Formats: sequence, structure tokens, C-alpha cells
Amino acid sequence: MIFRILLYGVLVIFLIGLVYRFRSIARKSRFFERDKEPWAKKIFNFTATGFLFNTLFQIKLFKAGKLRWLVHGLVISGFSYLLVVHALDDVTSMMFSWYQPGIGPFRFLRNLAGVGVGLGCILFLVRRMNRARNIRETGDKGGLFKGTVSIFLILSLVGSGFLLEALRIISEPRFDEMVEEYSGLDEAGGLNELRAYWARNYHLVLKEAIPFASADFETGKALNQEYCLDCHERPDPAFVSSFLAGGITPIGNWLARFRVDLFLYWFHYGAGLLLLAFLPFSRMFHLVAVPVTSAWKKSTHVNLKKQMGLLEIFSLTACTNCGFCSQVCAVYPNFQITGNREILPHVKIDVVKTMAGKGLWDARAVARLRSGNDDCTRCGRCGDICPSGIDLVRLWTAADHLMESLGFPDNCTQALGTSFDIWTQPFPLPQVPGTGSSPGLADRVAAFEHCVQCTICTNACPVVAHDLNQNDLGPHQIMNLLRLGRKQMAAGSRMVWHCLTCYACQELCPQGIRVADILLELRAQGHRTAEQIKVSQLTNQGSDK
Amino acid sequence: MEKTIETQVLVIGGGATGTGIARDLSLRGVRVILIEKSDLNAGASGANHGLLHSGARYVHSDIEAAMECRSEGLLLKQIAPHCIEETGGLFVAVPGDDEAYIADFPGMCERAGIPCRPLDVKDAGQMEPCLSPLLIAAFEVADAAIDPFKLSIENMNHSLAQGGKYSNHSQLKEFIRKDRKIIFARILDTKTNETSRIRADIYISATGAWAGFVAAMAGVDIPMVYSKGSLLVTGQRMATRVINRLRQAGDADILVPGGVVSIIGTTSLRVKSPDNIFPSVDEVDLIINQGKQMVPDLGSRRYIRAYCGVRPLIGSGGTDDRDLSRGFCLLDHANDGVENFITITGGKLTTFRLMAEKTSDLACERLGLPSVCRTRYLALPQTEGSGWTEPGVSLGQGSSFHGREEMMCECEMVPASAIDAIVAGIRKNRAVPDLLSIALRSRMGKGPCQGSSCSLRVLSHLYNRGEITGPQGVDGLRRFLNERWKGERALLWGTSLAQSSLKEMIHCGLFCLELGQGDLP
Amino acid sequence: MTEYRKMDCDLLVIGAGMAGMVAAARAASLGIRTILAGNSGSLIFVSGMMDYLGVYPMEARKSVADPALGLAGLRAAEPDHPYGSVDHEQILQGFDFVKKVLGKAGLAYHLSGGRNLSVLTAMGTLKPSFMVPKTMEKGTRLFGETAEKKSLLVIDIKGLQGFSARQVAAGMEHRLARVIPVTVEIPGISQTIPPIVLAQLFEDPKVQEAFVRQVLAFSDKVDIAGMPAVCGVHNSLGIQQRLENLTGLPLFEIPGLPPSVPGLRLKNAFETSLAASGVTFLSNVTIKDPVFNGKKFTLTGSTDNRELSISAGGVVLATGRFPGNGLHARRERIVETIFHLNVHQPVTRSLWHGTDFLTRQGHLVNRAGIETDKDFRPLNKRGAPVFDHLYAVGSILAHNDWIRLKSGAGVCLVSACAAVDRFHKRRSKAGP
Repeated sequence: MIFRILLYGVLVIFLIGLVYRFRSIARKSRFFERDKEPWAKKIFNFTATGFLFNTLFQIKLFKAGKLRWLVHGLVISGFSYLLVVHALDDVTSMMFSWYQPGIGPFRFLRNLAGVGVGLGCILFLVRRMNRARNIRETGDKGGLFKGTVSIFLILSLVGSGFLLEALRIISEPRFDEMVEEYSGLDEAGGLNELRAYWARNYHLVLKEAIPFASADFETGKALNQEYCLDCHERPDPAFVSSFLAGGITPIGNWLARFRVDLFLYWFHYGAGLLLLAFLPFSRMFHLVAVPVTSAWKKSTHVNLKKQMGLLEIFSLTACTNCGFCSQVCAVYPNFQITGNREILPHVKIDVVKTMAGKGLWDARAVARLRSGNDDCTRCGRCGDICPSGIDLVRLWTAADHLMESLGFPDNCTQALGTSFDIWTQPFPLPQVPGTGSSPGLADRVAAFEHCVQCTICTNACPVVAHDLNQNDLGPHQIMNLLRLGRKQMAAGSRMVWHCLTCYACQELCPQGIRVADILLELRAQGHRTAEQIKVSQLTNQGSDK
Repeated sequence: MEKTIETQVLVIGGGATGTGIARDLSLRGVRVILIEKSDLNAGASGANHGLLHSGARYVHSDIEAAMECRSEGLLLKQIAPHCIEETGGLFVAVPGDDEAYIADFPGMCERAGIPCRPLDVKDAGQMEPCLSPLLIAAFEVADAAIDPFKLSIENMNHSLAQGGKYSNHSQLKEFIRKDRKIIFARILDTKTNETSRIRADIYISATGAWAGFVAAMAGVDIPMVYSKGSLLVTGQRMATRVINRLRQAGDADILVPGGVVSIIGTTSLRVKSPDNIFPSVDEVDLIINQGKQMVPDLGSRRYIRAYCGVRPLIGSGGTDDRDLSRGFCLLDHANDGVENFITITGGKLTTFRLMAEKTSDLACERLGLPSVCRTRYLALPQTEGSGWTEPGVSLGQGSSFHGREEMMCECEMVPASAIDAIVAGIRKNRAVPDLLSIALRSRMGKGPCQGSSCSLRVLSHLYNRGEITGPQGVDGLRRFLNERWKGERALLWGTSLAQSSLKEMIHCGLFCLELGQGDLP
Repeated sequence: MTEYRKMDCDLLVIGAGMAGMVAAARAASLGIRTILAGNSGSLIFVSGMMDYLGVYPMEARKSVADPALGLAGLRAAEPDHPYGSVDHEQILQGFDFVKKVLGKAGLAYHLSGGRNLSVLTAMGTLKPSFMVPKTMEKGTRLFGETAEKKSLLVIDIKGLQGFSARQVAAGMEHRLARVIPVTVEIPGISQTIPPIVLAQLFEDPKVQEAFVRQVLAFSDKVDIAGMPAVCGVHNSLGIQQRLENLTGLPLFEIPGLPPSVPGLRLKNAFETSLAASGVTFLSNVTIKDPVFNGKKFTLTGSTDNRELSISAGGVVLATGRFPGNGLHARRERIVETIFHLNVHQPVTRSLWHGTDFLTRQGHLVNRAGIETDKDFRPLNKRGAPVFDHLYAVGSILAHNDWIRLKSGAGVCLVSACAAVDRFHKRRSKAGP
């Protein structure tokens, strides 16, 4: 009875969660909306093939990594099996009379599925840990546990299942209960013989060993056949559980006495319920979101603004933070140089999620996201590889619009729109580990003091030629500003922000000055200043309220 | 008939002292005219470090001068903050410096009442990373940087606002004396070659190194000795603070920041005349070799200019002219038989106000005017457009940032609008602008390229504006190039020599400026 | 320094300025396997005009009409001058060679028949030269005997700094019958414009038409028109002809403040020629650490991120003077940067420069440099060639104040040609 109540309770929570989740998606999507049209009216560019192939067969994941596809498949198929056959065994046995959880093939299959799921989860965690190491997520406080709650839940569900089965195998009280319920045997009726038989063949652990005789064994075998065998074959096909049972035999008596199996039963059941209740709120929600994102056609520039909203939130929830996107990110080298984690797509998407979810508000994090998103070249590699089928480029563009509406213009706009006085006022440099500490070219006098102001760089610069009436300073004037100790001013010039990095200036400089490298470095400096200004402006706004 | 102008006081010499006196007297309500044979700060007032002494430099040699510096320094920081950058200063010693002097230094400062904080040498190194890692002692004092050009311009402007008069390119030709008095002075306008008379009650010579020549015109003999001091301007600002060598005054022992550059000097070399001097190669090497002992980067950095000034010394005693030069010298020539003639010379930039006060006091006493000096308390007003001489000044102007302005001198970022404003100012004085007169009033041509390109840009700009019409523009270019040459000739090695070669390629190789005119092949 | 490559050649030319380019072209024409290493960016700084000997003696302060006469005097008075090792014929052949090389690459030059040409500059002064871009040719005819009957239109372009038509006119007024200055505005240009960017704009027919519209009004009033040297980067002669057709006026270019468009054209033409003749051009590779093993030189070439090893049978040092960093002036003395060769120079720095920038005698530092034998091989302190197959050519040579004597290109091309010819002769004599 109590199980039912719990189950229904959890189901209600689950449903409420789903409703809440969809409602919040609808609500949050307004952050992204560019016009007043309600999201429902917007065109839904459905692609059935994308939906089918990616949801059912995970083709994008297959393309991204075969091993990972395999692991993912293990978890999904194992879990599905366990869900249908094991968790819903009442239903299963009603539908298929031949189904008995205790007989060989089902025991084996259950263990096999459990192993698949458990192994998959462990491999997932190992990979996540490695990724953390690979991309030096030093600033990541959540570490391994961030976004992996569901995985741990599944692991504990599987683990407790195995343990429970193992304990039930060896448990004498459990045996006694079953005998009482299904046979009513007593000592005279051969209970001891059955016990002995079970102890020998079924790994049952007895409090007091029963002396063994072959006649008794035959009796036990007969009784077993009569009462037990229909439902309980030898436990060996449950290869994990019986192995575990063998392992805990020495303390079996002790465990049995305290009915640890009952505790584990509750734990196992609870974990399952918890997983269900938690699903709408956890990363597991991607079960729902991925089909949606997969079914959506890639957006074009034209329809993007119109449609911005709903899909973005689905995209955010569909992300499982697998990290493939960062592995292929074209501007990954920028991350290696600047150390700004918010360049990496898998980190960006997390920040966007926080920003969209809570309507901001760690100004500093958003400022960094700004720099990261500004570095993005929209090459599209991240979206191409995304196993969840998220149109990531679309998401980055949407994030741009979102940040703009929150008062975070891109750094170039910020730099060129900031008054000279504010731009050049000294800000404390942000403490990003591993960056900004070593002096760059723009700080080393020897790197630019040999400039003879011949202006060949400016004459060769395509930006100067193209943007004749708007561009403010030529590269040679930037070099001169550095000589004059006006690095900050140089970092705010159009030249620095519009530089194409074609390297014509550096190639032609008769004095061998690394002009383009210096411009690039100044832009990095400008990013930091723009961040500072935005953060300080937002902080000031906050204190005004 | 010559034009005659009447006034109460005629001040001769437009340096820091002369403009200071003009301001002081104007504020007392005295009518004053200042004449200058070339332009403001053309002498030693424009050829020094731009250092506002804390006084610590003189605690050993001249404790009175040290105390004067301290009090005047504090006062100027109050009344003229816009001419001063309160950089703070360090005194540092390197191995080999006189240890007894180092040990005595804090005590001497204390006796003079000059705040002086001993520093750990490591801390000093962190405060100024350019310092030698081998320091053996360091002290912090309240030195500051002062812009002498801006200071004189503001002093003069304040005087003008109070009714004072200023006349440049006006050279004193002679004093006409009658008995024990000067009746009038005959003045030559060097631009128009016209003479005029100025009749005054009191004549004050604030002509620095030229005091002997002026006094001679009044029939008074002042025995003068001239000591040349050369200084170098670095391409960048080396330090945020003034850095002094902690030893008895010697060569190249002060490094002063001035806007975007730093200035290292000086030397001390006896010369026969205060005219036609320029820094020599040996002096440059001496300054660098000495300077790099305390700031090693001085041995490898690029320099953009060398210049020199002359310290006027009275009397000929002493071995080191630096010791002689510091105290100022106010001479009332009534004792020499000229009642209405005063000479003020010597002294330091830091004490110019005190010198002006004492001189004005004496002048007012002679005039019989009971008056009180107001410069001690009255702030020096800041005027518009006084700052085109300051290194890097245009960098702070919003207009040259995102809005693009036509740059004339790219090294020093002098825009066309500044040139136009300066030309308009020159025209107001009914003079004809040429490259030299523009360069005197701006930073044009004072950057690393020393006028290679900006001279040509400005010249064509002037032609286009109709400011120059005939072929004389090219002659002006030649004069300008030769004038720039004085400051760069001794500094040509490394990149500077490469840059100078490019300059010669343009001006001689292509434009053939060294050839005469009228030379068809 | 991740990559390491090895290269091999017969002749390595170090320096991609005028002398280096000519040396490489000459070597290629003789079938020598050649590598050229250097930065050709500095060519953008040259005026594009090629001088032979514009002034002699220097003290005369005027140009010399017949360079051959000047040469005779120079060779007699200063036998150490690089021209001391060559004769008039060789110099003329050198000019002719360069003219052909450039012509093949599509850049036409006008070579004087023997007398110096007078080229009008942006300062309104006249410069003597010997071979000028075809686009400047008509200007050199202006100052003949009938000059005082001619009228000239000087065109400047708004936004191009350092070039004022009024200034040029002011310098020329007394020589010609009439000089009219006019300013042409290019639509869309409201600010300053770098000369090379302006030259690129001139390739746009719309800009050409705007130019023509504003000049057309003067076509009946003058005989000829001069304009800044910005008449397109590519096909400058074609563009000039188009402008001439449209305006009905003969046009010529006036050289001005660098960076110079004729210099860029020269750079492009030389690079085209190198590519066509099979010379390996290592652009922006810095050469250092020469080692000689008795037969071959091995040198290291480096860029910002890689190094390569070059072995060569002979080396031509065409690294230029101070601006090209072939010579480097330390505070105490001048050094040669790659081979650390003996540098002829004044004894102390105080003698490097005179007290007057435009001094009559020129500055002694400009006569410092590498002393060579008659074959342009650098000499050691004892006066013997340092290596059999190391040559120094161009402005790095001692006793050569090319700026004042107006002999820059002449010295570069004749020394480059002579050195390469002699390398070739010696190698073929020695056998393969």
C-alpha cells in the first residue's frame, strides 16, 4: 500500500515537474524573443528525418564518437529493459504469463542490463573527469559533481539493485519468509532439508550449519522442485549478484539478522522514485528536449530573429554537457592563450542557461561570456557535432541578442562607444589565473621602440583602405601610442578592433616589428577593459536600485 | 621718431623669473612690461629637468637653499597644481657611492625639515622596476615634476590679465642713462627690425645667463661664469617618480618624468658664452654611462633629443659649478651707481616665485609703493591653450580619439587644428609663420622622427592654407631641419641613426634640399 | 622553433632591397640556382627613380649634367668609391639590364640617353636622376631650352598629406611661363589618405572620371600637367594613358613623401620577375650565424616560428645600411650584423655627423661601410678578401655617400651585377 502511495505521489510530482518545466520554458523563452508575437504562432520548421534518426538512433552521437555512442546505447537499452521488464514487472507478468523474474534467462538479462547501465555511467564519469583535466577547468567549483546528479542516482539505483539481489540470495530470514508464504513447510515437513539444499545450491547462508546427508539432499531437491523451482531457478545466471553474494557470505548472517535487505529494498525503490521525480529538473530532461531540438531545422539568418525564443530554451535543456563541442571549437586556441573558459561552447551554454534561467545576474560571468562569445567565429563546427542536435550557432546568436537586451553590448561596440575618459581610467585588472600576469609585446619597449614611423604598415592595411573615413588610427600610430605609454588608449581604437589579422603590416615592416601580433594583443587587453567597464556599470546600476 | 611706451617697471627676460616678476608686480597693481628677445623660456628656464625639488638634493651643499626649496615646493603645489605632477621622488645609491654621505643623508634632511622616508631597497625596486637591482640604499622624498613652459605661459597670462604687457622678439639694444638713472631703453623688434623706446621707473634684468651683457649696457660690471648643462630626453617615460642619485651632486644624477617622456641629466661644463651651444657626443655618453648605473635601461633605450642650458654663475670661485649655481643673486645696482636698475639671476626653477617676490619687494621699495606680495597665497589661474608644449598633451584630448582628425605630427600627435590655432596666434602678432615658429609653440617635430615627415606635412598644409606663398617655405624647412639637428646629432646610433638616415634620404636624397637653387643640369 | 628545413643553392643573396633584387635577377639570368632572403618592404620607401651620379663634386651644391664626366672626376679623386671598380660602360649596361628585367615584369622605365634628367619633386625642387618610371618621363622634358614658354598644371589631391600644388608651383614659377595649382577632390575622401591607398583608388574608373572632370577645365590653358605619383599600383602607365586621353593633357607623376607608390610598383615588379625566373624568395626570413666549411657557407634563416638551414656556394651581402640593419651603429662603433665584417668608419662618434644637417660636405657616417676589392669582396683588416665567394653590394659599401652624390641605384645595380658576374665567372672557371 505504502508503495502505491509513494509511487503515485512521485508520479504526481513528475507530472507537475513536467508541466512546470514546460511552463518555465515558455516563460523564459520570452527573454530571447525579439518581437511581441507569442511563441506558439511561430513557424515550427519540423524535420522528421532529424527527429527519427537522431532520437532513435543517435546518429550524430555515432558520428561524434563510436565508443561514446556505444556507451550511451548501453545505458539507454539497459535502462529501458530494466524499466519495462523489471520496474514494471507487475505489468509485465500480467501481460506475459511466462514471465518470472526469478528464472534463469530473466535473471541473466536483468544483470546484463544492470551491468550495461552501470558500466555506461562509470565510463561517463571517467570521461567527464578526463575532460575536466584536459581543459584545465581550474575555476570550475562543481567539478565532477556538477550536472551529474542523475548519473549518480542511476548508479546508486543499479548498485543497490545488485546488492539487494545478492543479499536476498543469501538471506535466511528472507528464505524463511518465502517458505512460510508459499509452502508452509515445517521442520517435520522437510524444511531443514530444503534449507540444506538451498544452502548448497542457492548460496543461502544459514545461521547454523545443517549436517549434510545425501538422502536429505534428495528430499530437499524434491521439495525445491515442488515449491520453489517454478519461480526460482539457481541464482548463477544472475552473474553479478551471485558473485556479490559469494563475496558477502562471511558477513551474510550478520547482514541477514539486521534485515539489511529490507533497507536496501527501500533504498532501491526510493532511488528509482527519486530519479523519476527528479527527471524534469535534471539533465535527464534531455530525454524530452533532444527530440525537440533534433526535429528543428537549422535556422537561417532571415528566420532566426523571428523565431528566437522557445527553441533556445529547449536547446539549453537538451544539452548534456558532453563537451564534444569544445573539442572541435575553432577558437579553442584562444582559450589556451587567454584562459577565458567562456570561450568554450560547453561552458558558454552553461552560462547562457544560468543567465536565461535566472534572468542573469552574475555580471562578471556574463562579462566573460561576452568576451567568449565575441571570440566565436560562428564556424558552426560545434553545432555540427552536437549529439543533442542543438543548433548551437543559433544559440550563440540568440545569446548575443539576450546579452544586448540585458545591457551587455559586444566588446567592440562597448569599446568604440565608451568615452575616452571612461575607457582610459585605470581599472583593476581581473584576476584570471594564468593570464595577464606575464608582460606581452605591448608592454615590452624593445618590441616597438624601433618603429621609425615610415607608415608602410598603414599604407598596406586593408582596414585602413576599406574604412578610410571611419578608421581612427593607423597601425603606425598605434605603435607610437605604445611608445607614449598609452596602451589603454591604443586598445580602444577602431584599428585594434577592426584588424583582420591579415598580417600585411607585419610582413612588410622594414624594422621587423610584430605589428599584427601587437594589435591582437591589444584587442585582448581591450576585451578585458570592456568587461571591466560593463561589470562596473552594472554594479553601479545595482547599487542605484 | 621712435615710438615711446611708458610704464612703471620694465622686466627684461621671459624665463620663469621674468614672468614670475611680471605676475607678482601686476598683482600688486604695478604697471609692468616684459620684453623677451626670442620667446618664452628660450634660455635656461626651458632647458632644465622640469624638477620641483623637495630640497633633499641640497641638504648637504646648501641647507638654506634646501629649506627654501622645501617651502617653495609645498607652496607651488598649492597654487599651481595644473603645472605640476606630484610624482614623488626617490634617492637611490648604487655600489661605489659614498657610504658616509648615505649614512648622513637622513640626518641632514631632518635638520632641514625635509620629510625623507628610508626604504627597503627591494621595496624601491618594486616601486620603480626600472631601478638597478644592485641598489644599496633608497629614500623617498616629495619631489615633483613641473612643466616650465606651462608655468611661464600661465604666469605671463595672469600678468596680462592684470594689465601687464608682453612683447616677444624684442631685444634690448641699449640703455640710455642720465646721471645715476636709466631714462629709457631702446628695443629692437627682431622680426620687423623696428626700434622703439620703453621709459620706465625701474628696470629689472631677469636675463639669467645674459645678465652680464644687460648689466654692461647699463654700465655695470657683473663677473659671469657660464656652466653648460646637457640633458637627454628618452623615448618613453622610464619611471613614475623622480629618481635622484644619492650622492653629492654629480653628472647625470637626476631622472625626471615629464608627461610621456623622461629627462636625464645633467652635465656641468664651463663655456665661454651662453650663445650657440649644443650638447656634445662626449656629454651624451657621460650622461648615459652615469645614468645607467642607477637605471640600467638608460643604457639601451632610445633617446629622442638632447638639449642644454647655461647656468649663470656669479663670481668665478669654486671647483664644481653646481655648488655655485644654486643660490639666487639679487643685485641692487644703486650700489654700482645706477639707482633704478636691478638684476636677478641664478637660483632654481623651484624658487622662481621667491626670487620674483624678493625682486618685486625691492622694486616696490624703490618705487616707494607700500605693497604686499600676493603670489604666496593666490592660485595661478589655468588658461586655455597653454598646453601645446607639454609632451603627450594632445593624447588626452577626446577629439583625437574616435573622431579622426588630420594629424600633422604623428609622433607627438599634433593635429591640424592645433597648427591652425598656433598660426592664428602668430598672425595676431603680425608675424609670418614658418616651421620654426610653429615648432616653438607646439610639440611638432619633437618625437622620434625629429620632423622628417611632419615638417613636410605642415609645410604643404601652410601652402595650401595660403599662409606661405613664395619659394621661401623651403628655406624655412632648411632652417627647421638644421635647428632639429642640434638636438639629435649627438644621439644618432641604433634605431635613431636608421631613422635619421631615412630623414636624409627624404630631404636630401629625394628633395635635394642641400643643393642650392637655380641649378639646372 | 618547431620546424627545421634544409635548403641548398649556389648563391644566397641576403637583403631584398634594390641591390639584392638586382643581384638575384642577375644571378637568375645567368642560370645560377639562387635563394634571396630578406624583407622587400623597404623598397616601398625608395622613390622609384634610379640615379647614376647626380652631383659631383659634393661641394659644388649643384647637379652635374653629364654623369660620365662626374664619374671621371670621382674615379680620379676617390678611387675607393664603389664606382672605382667599374667603368661607364658597365654602369650603362647595368641600367639597361634592370630596365629589361622590370620591363619584362610589366613596369616600364625611361632611361636617359646620357645626360641627367631633371625630375620635379613635391617640394618644388629639382632632382637629377638617370632612369625614371615611364610615368614620370614627360616631366623630365619640361625643363629643356623652351621651358620659359611652357605652362604647367600642378594637381594635388585633397587628403594626400605632404603634397601641395601651390608649393610645387611656388618653386617652379620662375622657371616656367605659367604654373597653375589645382586641388582635386576624390569623392568620398574626407580625411587624410595614405598614398598607396590613394593609388589603389585610382584604379577605379569612377575615381579616374572624377579626376578628369576636375582637370578638364584646364586642358586648354596649359601644355602639360603634373600630379602626385599615385596613378594606380598596377598598370600605372595604362591608367596614365587613359587619364591623358580623357583630359587631352600630357601627364607626368611627381615623386613625394614616402611611402612611395613607384617604390611599391618596383617591389611588385621585382617579385614578379623573381618568381618567373625561378629564384627562391624567402620573404621575411632573417639570416644569421654564417659558417664556412672551406667549400660552402651554411647559414641559418629564421622567422617568428621556424628555422631553416641554407647552404650556399657563394653569398651576396646586400643588407643595406642602418635602415636595413645591414650596418648597426652601436654607441661606440659601427658593426656589420651578419658576418661581423670589418667596417670602415670614423675613429669616434663625434666625427660621424657634422654640426649642420644640410652640411656641404655630407656626414662622414655616410661614407662608413664595407671596403672591398675590385670584385666587391669584403676585405679584412689586412686588406685581403675575407672569403673567396662572399660579396658585398649596394649601399653597405664604404666611401659611398649615395644620398649626397645621388648615386644610390647606380651603385646598387652596378655592384650587384658586377659581383654576380664575377662569382659566375670564377665558378665556371673552377668547374662544377
